[in-house]
Amino acid sequence: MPVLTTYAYRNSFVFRLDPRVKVAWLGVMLLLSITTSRPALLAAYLLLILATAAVAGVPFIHLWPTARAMLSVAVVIVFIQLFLHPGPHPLLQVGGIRLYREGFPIGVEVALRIYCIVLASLLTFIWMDPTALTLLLLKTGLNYRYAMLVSLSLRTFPLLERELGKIYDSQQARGMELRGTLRKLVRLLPVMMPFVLRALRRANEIAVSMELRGFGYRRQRTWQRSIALASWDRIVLTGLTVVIVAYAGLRVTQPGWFV
Amino acid sequence: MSVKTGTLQGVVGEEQPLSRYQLQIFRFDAKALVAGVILGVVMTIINAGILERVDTALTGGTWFPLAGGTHSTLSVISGLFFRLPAGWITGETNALFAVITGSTPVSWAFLINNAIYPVIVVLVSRVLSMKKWYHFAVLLVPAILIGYSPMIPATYSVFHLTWGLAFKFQLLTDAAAFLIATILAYLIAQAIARSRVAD
Repeated sequence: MPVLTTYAYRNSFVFRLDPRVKVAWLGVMLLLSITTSRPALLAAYLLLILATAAVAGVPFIHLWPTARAMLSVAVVIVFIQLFLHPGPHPLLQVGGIRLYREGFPIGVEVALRIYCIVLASLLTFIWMDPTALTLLLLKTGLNYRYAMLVSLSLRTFPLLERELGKIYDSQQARGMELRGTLRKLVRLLPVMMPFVLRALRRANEIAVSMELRGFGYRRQRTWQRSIALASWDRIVLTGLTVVIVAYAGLRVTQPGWFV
Repeated sequence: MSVKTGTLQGVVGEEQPLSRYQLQIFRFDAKALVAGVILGVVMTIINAGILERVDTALTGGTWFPLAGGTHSTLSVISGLFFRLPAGWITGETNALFAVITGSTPVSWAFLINNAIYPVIVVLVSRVLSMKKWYHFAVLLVPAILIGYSPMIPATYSVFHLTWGLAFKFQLLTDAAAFLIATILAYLIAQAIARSRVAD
């Protein structure tokens, strides 16, 4: 199963937005998720994130591997909170461990918050073109030598994932049993060693080809593309600003709504 | 690449260092920057794909016995052979992907961890040849104890734990990371030095 769902262009309004708008959306979602404690509101934020994904044309199946992996995390988190928050309402006693009902809302709150943070972050990178991300970093004043590294990491991720798959296949062809998580854990070294060495050889090749193309030769470089805010970008940014101002106002005047 | 290199005979007792670049703190050539990124991606694929998932399923993300080990191993490799800022790039690439892939609930705290950890690796590895297994043990003690300390307030706040419990969970992570990374980092670093792939 691939670890990361990478960028793939879709002809939708959200994909065409400026990267600054996408980052601003992520910032708003993170702020709302982190500063809210009421589970019902956090569930509403989660629905809002999924609705945005639907509007962008990202199929839910692209989010499902991450959502499914987070499910086991959520269960463990709720369990830990049941154990850590003793109160007058015991729920269950197994041996010396007693679970309390008081921890349940806290567990649900933490689990929902984590879902919001993870899915909002994942979506942002699903609809963020690596080149646009590089251009965005350049706009912040970062040197292009470092700005390019983020897009390089996004581009090499699937390549290295395939390389790890090949190493697993090669070791299995040599008779090493690697099916199942436990076997992979026990035999980590015979997989990790060639993986690191091959990755470093690939780094060598990439660095040489970049230097041959003049990477780092001049302090500045030119780009084929540039980013600029269009009218739709300005409208969405204004909308996000209104949301944040309204949220801040309600947070001050009606703090009980959010905790 | 015109990188000035040197030997460490005066510093490490007549013993040649494992890496040509061990005397330097910074290395800005393209190879170091790219290797920093690639090692960050490797760390993410190994950790987020297998180990962090297992850790999180077992402990709910409150401590990371397995992922801590590979994180320390690859951070040491990056810092040892490619110095700074490659060490930072490796760590922050891993932190970025950990946030995106949701491999653990406290992944945002990795951004802080991974800013501190490579500095300790680079500074300590300047005074050790890193040719013996116990050099890695000596390097990892301060790197893990100081570098992973920001995880304590992170687990405390994300999981609503008590300070005592957050501290104990962190000590368990530290102990597991130390044991795994001492062995893995030593073996992989020797293999890299022999293959000369980092020169």
